[in-house]
Amino acid sequence: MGLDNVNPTVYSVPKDAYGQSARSRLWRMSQNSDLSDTETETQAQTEAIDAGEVFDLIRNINDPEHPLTLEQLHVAQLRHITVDHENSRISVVFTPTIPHCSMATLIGLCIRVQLLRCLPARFKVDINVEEGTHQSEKSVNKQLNDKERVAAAMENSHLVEVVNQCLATTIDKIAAY
Amino acid sequence: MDTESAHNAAEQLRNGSVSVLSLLATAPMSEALASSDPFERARATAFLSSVLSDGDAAWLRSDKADKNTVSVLMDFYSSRLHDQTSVADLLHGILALLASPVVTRNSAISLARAMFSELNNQNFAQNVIVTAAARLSDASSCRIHDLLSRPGNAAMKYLGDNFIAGFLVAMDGEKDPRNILISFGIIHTIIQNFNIDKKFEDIFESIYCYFPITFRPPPNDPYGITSADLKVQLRRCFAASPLFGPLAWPILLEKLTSTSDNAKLDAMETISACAAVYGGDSIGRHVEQLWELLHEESLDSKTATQRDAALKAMRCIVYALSTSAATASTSSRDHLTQFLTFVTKHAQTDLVDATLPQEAIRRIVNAAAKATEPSFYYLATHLVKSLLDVAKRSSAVSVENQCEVLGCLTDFVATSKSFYGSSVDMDIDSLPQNPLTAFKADLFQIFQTSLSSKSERIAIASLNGLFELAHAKEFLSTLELEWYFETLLGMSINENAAVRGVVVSLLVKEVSSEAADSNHVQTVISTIIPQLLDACALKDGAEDVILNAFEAVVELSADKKVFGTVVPALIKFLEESNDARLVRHSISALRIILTEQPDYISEFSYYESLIVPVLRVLLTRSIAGSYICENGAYVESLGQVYAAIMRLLDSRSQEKVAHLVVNALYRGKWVDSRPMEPISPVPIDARSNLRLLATVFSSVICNMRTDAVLLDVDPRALVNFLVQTLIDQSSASRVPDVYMNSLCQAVASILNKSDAKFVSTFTADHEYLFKLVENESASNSDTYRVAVIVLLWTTRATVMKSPTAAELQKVSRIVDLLQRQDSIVASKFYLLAADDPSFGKHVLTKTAFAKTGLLWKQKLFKHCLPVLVERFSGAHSSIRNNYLLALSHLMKYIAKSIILYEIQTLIPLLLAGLSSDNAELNLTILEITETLLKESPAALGAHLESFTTVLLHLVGGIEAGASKSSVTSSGVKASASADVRVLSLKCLGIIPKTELPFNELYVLKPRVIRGLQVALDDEKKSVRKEAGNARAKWYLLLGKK
Repeated sequence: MGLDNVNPTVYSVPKDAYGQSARSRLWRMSQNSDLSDTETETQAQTEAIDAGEVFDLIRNINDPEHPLTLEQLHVAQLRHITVDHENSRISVVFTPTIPHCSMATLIGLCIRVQLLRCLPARFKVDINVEEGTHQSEKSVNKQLNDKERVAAAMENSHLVEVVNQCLATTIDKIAAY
Repeated sequence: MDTESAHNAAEQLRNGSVSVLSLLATAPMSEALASSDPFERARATAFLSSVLSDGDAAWLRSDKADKNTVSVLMDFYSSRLHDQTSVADLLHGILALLASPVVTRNSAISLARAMFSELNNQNFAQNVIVTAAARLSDASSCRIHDLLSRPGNAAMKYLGDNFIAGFLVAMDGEKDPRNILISFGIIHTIIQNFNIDKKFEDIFESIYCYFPITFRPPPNDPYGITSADLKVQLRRCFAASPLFGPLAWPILLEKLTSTSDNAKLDAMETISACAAVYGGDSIGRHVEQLWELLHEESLDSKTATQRDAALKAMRCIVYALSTSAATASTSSRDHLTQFLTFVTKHAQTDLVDATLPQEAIRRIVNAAAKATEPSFYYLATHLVKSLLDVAKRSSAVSVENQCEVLGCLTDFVATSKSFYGSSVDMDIDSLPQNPLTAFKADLFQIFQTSLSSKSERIAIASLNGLFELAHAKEFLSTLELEWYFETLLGMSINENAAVRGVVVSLLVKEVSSEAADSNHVQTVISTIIPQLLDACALKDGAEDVILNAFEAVVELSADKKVFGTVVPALIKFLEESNDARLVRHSISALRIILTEQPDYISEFSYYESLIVPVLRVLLTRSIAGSYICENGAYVESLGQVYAAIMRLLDSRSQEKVAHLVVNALYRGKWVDSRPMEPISPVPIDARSNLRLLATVFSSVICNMRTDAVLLDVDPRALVNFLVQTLIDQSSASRVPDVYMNSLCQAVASILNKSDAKFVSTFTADHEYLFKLVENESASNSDTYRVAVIVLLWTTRATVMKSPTAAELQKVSRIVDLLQRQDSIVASKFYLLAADDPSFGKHVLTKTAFAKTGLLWKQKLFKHCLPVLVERFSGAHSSIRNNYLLALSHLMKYIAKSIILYEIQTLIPLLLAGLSSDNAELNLTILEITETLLKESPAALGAHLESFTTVLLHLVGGIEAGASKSSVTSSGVKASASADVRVLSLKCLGIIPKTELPFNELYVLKPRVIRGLQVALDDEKKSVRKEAGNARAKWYLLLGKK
């Protein structure tokens, strides 16, 4: 079977969340060492789930076609994730690399499964294709947000295997950021 | 006729008591050789061959084996080659004979003839391939060919085509990798030494059938021949003669269209190796196809290796075409132009068309331009102008495209240096005119304007371009260079982190690269560094700007020349400045520079320029009560600087430094020739401003070599003074931790490095301290705390040095202290066993020259374990944790193999520790559990369920739906500290990845996945992430297919 998108654009990924070298941060830390009180303050604080945390869960999912991550292909981007604590909703929008990408549903399913596994159950997660980036946007969205269909897909052993393969690359990278 | 008799016979041959002909003439031998039974003959032959090859054919190599005898033997062996049963043994003997220096030309020729005519390798191989003997002989046969065809063997040249033909038949259809490898070597020798004009097609045919190599060595291959070995040898054969060119190109092109990446890679690598040999003329008509295939490969290849191979192949083709063109071959010139036209055409369209990855075409252009001067000239004259036009229309082009265009221009400038000289090269008239000179002004202008672009990527690309321009020969005027350095300086302070990083790395390259231009180095050292230091010292500068300047200074100090300028300047800031911020930053910078570049210190006048002035500053500022010396972190930084210097010095130099520091801080006496005015030093004291200087004091003492002594100071008196000072001061007020730890470390180091007599005099002090601790009723008194810490440090020092029964007795008395309600002894128990009890400060470690006894840790552990286990089981619940904590500290630092030996005793204790509500205990045991799970999960295998249960307790997920703060059935409080939760989750995440049996892990899967749900909604981000990771791992626990 030929690939849908033979030659996708690969984007560079920043080294870490701040785009700084580790050395540079070490230096800054040593400069601020006398401000150690802030440390104890944060200990008591509650840190709410934010878009960055959700992005960390999905950024390293592998593309089903290429040995590249969704982040490298800009399929998943931080700016396309929103977290609404009031209504306990999370929305993830992803961008297929080409409008006729037959893998869009599979990519969406991978995101769905990963978030089912790694996010608290109290959130309702909406996963949608970015508007105007896919030919069958509506049907893909419908499939991805239909509990029954997702459950049915996860009963297909072949599909589960492919999804697990794509998710295997996230292991030990989630907590690395 | 066994090995021993063969060896004896060979011995006799060597000492001359028997001649080989008389050996052959003996009755059993001559009869056996002439026997009608083929196996009898083979046995006799084997014996003779063993005699000849004994001791690496020592007899044949010696001058005792004369020409005639060797000839007779050679003829005998050659004539017998038809005897199939004996072939293996015959070849074995021939191999030995060929080692003789006196083999005549005639015997060699007749041997070769006999081998090609009599010995049909193939039939022979088919007959007996399964037996080991056959394999041996087969390999020998190839080795014999190898020996025969060695360069200079005129005899084989005499055979010429016949030898080649014979050999080709012999190797035809060969499958054994060992033989193939040798055959390739022989073919290469033949091509190099024989006239192959008539036979090259046959030779090519015999090697091309092996191309591309798809050999996969069998598992546990004893010969270790890899597919890479074969590939390299085959490629050597392909590249051995230009005659192969016309035959090889179609095959190589065909392999380039193959669907196998491996075949394509091999083809491209072979093209790289052969293009120059085959020459431009042979490439001729394939130019277009080669371009198409390699271009596609460099764009689409999935791996960098594949892509780089394609680029290298292109470069080699251009090189071959250029070289042929230079030798006045018109057709090659046309073909070169044709190839380069393809490159230019694609570059012109692709670099403007934003839908394609322009990086790829940039690489192609660079590969082709790098090949030769003519190719560079052609591409530069045809492409640079249009690239400049694209760059000028920056608004109409995407950022990515703009970057690639600038990158491409940078590549051109960089490559031009190798053909037309760089700024450091001498003026050589013979160098041709650089075609880029015509675009000099434009290039500078483009890079200059793009530097101010909003996009950080474009700015970085322009910086790289400017760097190359500054290094190309006669490109930038003095004014332009001045502007370049000023810009770098400005950007190194003011830009954002990414751009600044690039600017600083360029500056580092300017000073420290091997081919650095001395003018540039001079500019950086005499202009940039002083200006950066000025920026560091700006009084009203913004914090960020000042930090950037410091950061640049630190990075640049990696170069020795800069180091020599920067370190004195920073010390001057320390000495003279009243600006607290500047002093603080200077200390941090000094610490980083000196600890990262300790090698430079020895060539630097460290004593006069660093040790003395820094101590003077510290004393002056401390006595004056300066802010800097109020902050332990800064004084400690300087202590670390002293420690780093001490570790590098020899004993005598260490004594000199110690003399200065110990006199100043212990006696209050300044011993340097330059007087210390207006303040005179006083001894360090817990209450005075000088207390923090104790870290400097201990840094120096702790890093002394064992043979370095404290000049003019009695170590016994010093130790007494330090211990007594600590105890006395603790009765008055709480002794600061830094002060106490530093003095304890100094005492421990002196004890550890002194002789046994000295240690025995300390026993009385030990007794005094024990009494003090045992009689101290209030555990919260400071004297108790100080005495315990001193005891732990000193016991550690002596046990580590010699773990004798008497010393270990002291440890038992410390264990006795664990029965008190407080947990000071338990929490500090690590001081006894940790590899580095001071956590990175180099106290009592090998790097700090500590003395260590043989297996001291094992002895300590063996001594403590039974006592601790017994006391634990008999202890009241309120103090049980003390024993567990002490034990966990020991376990953490002991070799895993020793823990595994005692694992059955330890597992219940580990589980008890994990179930405790003491966070410190939880953490230490979790660390041990983590290591055990990673390194030897099988040890915990039988108790996996219990471990999983307690770990889930710790993360609050023991039962699905249980709230986090609930107290579970076994009394474990579920809300442990965030660190404990994170570490527990890490351990839980390791379990599914261990190699424990799948059935044991799988039963736990539903419970763990359910249990982890609570942690997914933890209030701490780090816990949630670890929980997500662990849960994802458990979901992926699916077993082998």
